[in-house]
Amino acid sequence: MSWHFIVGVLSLFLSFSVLISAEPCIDAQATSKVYSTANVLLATESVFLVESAVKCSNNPKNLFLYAEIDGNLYPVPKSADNSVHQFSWVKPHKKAKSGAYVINYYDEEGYAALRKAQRSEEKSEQKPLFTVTLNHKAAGREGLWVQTEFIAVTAALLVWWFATVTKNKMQE
Amino acid sequence: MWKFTSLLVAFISLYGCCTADTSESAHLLVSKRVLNEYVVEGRDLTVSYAIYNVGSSPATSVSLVEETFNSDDFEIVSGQLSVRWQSIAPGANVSHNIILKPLRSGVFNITAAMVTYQPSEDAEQQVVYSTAFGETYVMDSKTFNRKHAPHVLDWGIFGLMTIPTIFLPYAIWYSTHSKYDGSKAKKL
Amino acid sequence: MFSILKRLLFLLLLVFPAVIFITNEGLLGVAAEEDEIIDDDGVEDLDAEGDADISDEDEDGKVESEDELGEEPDGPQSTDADTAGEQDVTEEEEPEIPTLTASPDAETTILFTSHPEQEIAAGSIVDCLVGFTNNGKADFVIEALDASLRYPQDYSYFIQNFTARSLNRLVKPGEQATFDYAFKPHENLGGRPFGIVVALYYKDAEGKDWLDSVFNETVTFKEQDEGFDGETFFLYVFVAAMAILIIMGAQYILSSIGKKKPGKPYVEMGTQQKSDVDIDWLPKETTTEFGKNSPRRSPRNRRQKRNPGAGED
Repeated sequence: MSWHFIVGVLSLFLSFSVLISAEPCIDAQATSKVYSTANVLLATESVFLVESAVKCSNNPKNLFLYAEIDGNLYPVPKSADNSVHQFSWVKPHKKAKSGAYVINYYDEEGYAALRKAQRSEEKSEQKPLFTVTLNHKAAGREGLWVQTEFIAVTAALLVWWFATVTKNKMQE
Repeated sequence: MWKFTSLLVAFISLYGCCTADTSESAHLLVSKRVLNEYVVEGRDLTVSYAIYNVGSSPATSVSLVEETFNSDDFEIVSGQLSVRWQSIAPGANVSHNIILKPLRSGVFNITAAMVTYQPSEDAEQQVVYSTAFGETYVMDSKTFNRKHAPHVLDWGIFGLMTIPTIFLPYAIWYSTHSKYDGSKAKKL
Repeated sequence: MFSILKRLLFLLLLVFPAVIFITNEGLLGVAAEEDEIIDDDGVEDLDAEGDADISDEDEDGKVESEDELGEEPDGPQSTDADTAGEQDVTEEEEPEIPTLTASPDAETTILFTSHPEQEIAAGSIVDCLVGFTNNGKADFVIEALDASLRYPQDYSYFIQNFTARSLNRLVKPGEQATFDYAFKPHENLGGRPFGIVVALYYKDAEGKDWLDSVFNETVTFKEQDEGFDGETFFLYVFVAAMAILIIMGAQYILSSIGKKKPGKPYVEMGTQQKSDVDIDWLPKETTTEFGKNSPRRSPRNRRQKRNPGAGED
């Protein structure tokens, strides 16, 4: 019983310490690459991907970012060599509409502040480290909006209709 | 103030430890899905990972390592093959996606990715393997294009080739029609 | 005699395809989408034989007399009796097969990713993830994963059996693995409780078989909402369009029949009213005879007139 107590207290302290040891990022410079699904046949759901290489002037160790999109916060995984933070999400094609998706990135401090503001339901003044805008064009089939075979068939039908009308006019 | 917080901490940890099971640990389930309807050589292959924590404590130092797509056969279009999360809360899930491009067609066996995590503070690293998709057939781009490409060029050429057969007779008819049409108008 | 044979041939030509259609490889009344029940593996072979018997009978019946006809309705009944017999046999065999249990060295968990609250609507696809932990000291080979729906009061009665997914994955000691599975309960099962059993089949390093029922609970399926079904909507639009088309076609036909009547006399009068040709200089008899005695109207007169004159040539 006492052993569990010690472990519990230790774990609580450790979790607090982890939070405290994360250094904030000052002067974030980020270059981002984005990707979103374009072809419906190649993916059953639309995938959005943002890869960001972040440079902070104070070079913090263990920088973990959180992304905020549409008011929801998500942890952002980073690559094994700590260079790239990749944030991605998946949505069904019907819900993944065309438009600009704005993603705000926060470090641990910013995340904690945002969560506090959310819990107390006040608008947070926290500024994001950086923001990425993803312009997405809804995934569809390749090629023209109308299938080329459809165009060919309608053109053929039009020609036939015109010829028939003219022929009937001539016969009268 | 400090007395209060320390008492609070003690109470919370007591409550947490004693009401829960003796083994309070995280348990991760990793799903790896190929989102493609068709896997085509030279086109995007979308692989989506989802990690669910069904345990009762957060999983820390979660590391996903993907080594089943070797660089000879697959090129990375977007995404990182190996990523880390700081922690996954119990009952929560995280997702990760990568976009690859197969460099040749044929049959490939897509096996599991590996995730290592720490189920609880004093435990060792736990290895969990994701779901394996199994054998997939990567079709070559010719077959895929035959069925799904818009064929604009083909139809354009076809249209050009039909123009002589349709418009030449029309032109002949129109010239004779206009000649005799003029004479009819005179009589009336 | 011949008429009897003709009638017989006619009847057989009707009965033969009907029998083939109904029996359909000896399985009467089994829905196409369902799987073969695992217990009835022996029955499949017997049914194949039964089908061969039926087809033989049919081919014989074509040539031979009416006595063969009497046997054909027995064909499907015989396979029915066979399946019943086979089922009896397997039921007797069941106590001989040792029941499989879960290995104490392995732990499994399940998570329904598509229906987290386990509120499943019948007819929707259910996705689940099964986690397997190897707590032992030897390897395990995970062979297959399948799901089935059982009668809630009697879990040995299968209502729907889903295709097993063969995995053949090795899990080393201390490691965990995840497997996924998806199944779709039939739409008609909505609103009733069913026992869902998700079973994992695996072998240990010594080759001993184990079976773990990862999920073994009774769940009530919800009725599927008749959402806005695009297909039925467009079906109604199509039917309405066809009806309108038919009405318009009928209208067109009726109106064109009405137009044709005034059309005919126009054609006929054309030959008599040529305004640009002056026929005043012709004697009156010729013009009136044109109107009366046209060869089209009175061929008999023309023939009579000619006949007396024929001798002159």
